[in-house]
Amino acid sequence: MAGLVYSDIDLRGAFQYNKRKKEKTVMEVKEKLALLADVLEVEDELTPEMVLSEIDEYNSMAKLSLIVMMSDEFSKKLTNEEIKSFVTVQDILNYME
Amino acid sequence: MEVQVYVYRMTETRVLRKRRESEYGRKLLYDAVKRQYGIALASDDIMLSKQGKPYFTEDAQGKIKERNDGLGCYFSISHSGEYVVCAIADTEIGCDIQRTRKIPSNLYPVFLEMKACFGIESTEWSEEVQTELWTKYESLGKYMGCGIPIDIKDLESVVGNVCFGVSREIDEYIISVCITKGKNVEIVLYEK
Repeated sequence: MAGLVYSDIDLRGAFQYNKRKKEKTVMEVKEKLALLADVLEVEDELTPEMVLSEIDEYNSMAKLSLIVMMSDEFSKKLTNEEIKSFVTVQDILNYME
Repeated sequence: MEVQVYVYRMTETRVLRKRRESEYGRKLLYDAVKRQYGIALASDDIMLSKQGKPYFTEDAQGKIKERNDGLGCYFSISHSGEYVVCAIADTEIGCDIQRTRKIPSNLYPVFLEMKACFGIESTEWSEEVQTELWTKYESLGKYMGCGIPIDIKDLESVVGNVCFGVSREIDEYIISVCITKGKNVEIVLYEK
């Protein structure tokens, strides 16, 4: 009986932890999207599935701005080849770790 | 030397423009070569370098040389806003068009480096000055065939070997072309 109680507590704890983790992940994605929207200077809201080649503001100046942001915020040196490999907004989000 | 810049104004919505700008750029190039040399090019006459810079195949260059006193043809395509431009010349070339705009604030330090690299001493820092500097920077990157030149210091040795031409004939837009030094640049616009 006691085991079941502990088990329930463990499960509740695990559930709370996963919930917090999920909320944190969602928040992080939102933050990244906001940062990206700021860098690309887009007027509309960005979503992870958006195709970069269809975003009007995703031009060469935005790409240089992205390179500088990656260096400043994530200490990552983004190359031209890596930029070319980005197809969707999600690809950039994956790089923002 | 004369650099011909062919211009096309897209009339579609923003989304459609973005989808079709590459297609329009290619059409402009075909029209330019047809008009200049009387040659109808096919899609397999153009190749892409490892860095993604398009160029004519040897076969296509051969056909052009026959009609251009033994000189080849080089080209560069650029888009911004409603416009697509294609510049052609008989020397290696890079071209960029940009709607006049303020640069993103996180690029200020990079622009200061660019300004020093291009030897611009003016203290004026208007949107026009910023945009012209950008178009020169990007046309140089295209001339070099390296995409966006990330390290500005790498440009310093190249800047001395090229010259630039700038056009402000289209309202709110600036066009820069970059060619090998030793030739004068005269931009002639052809609107389609």
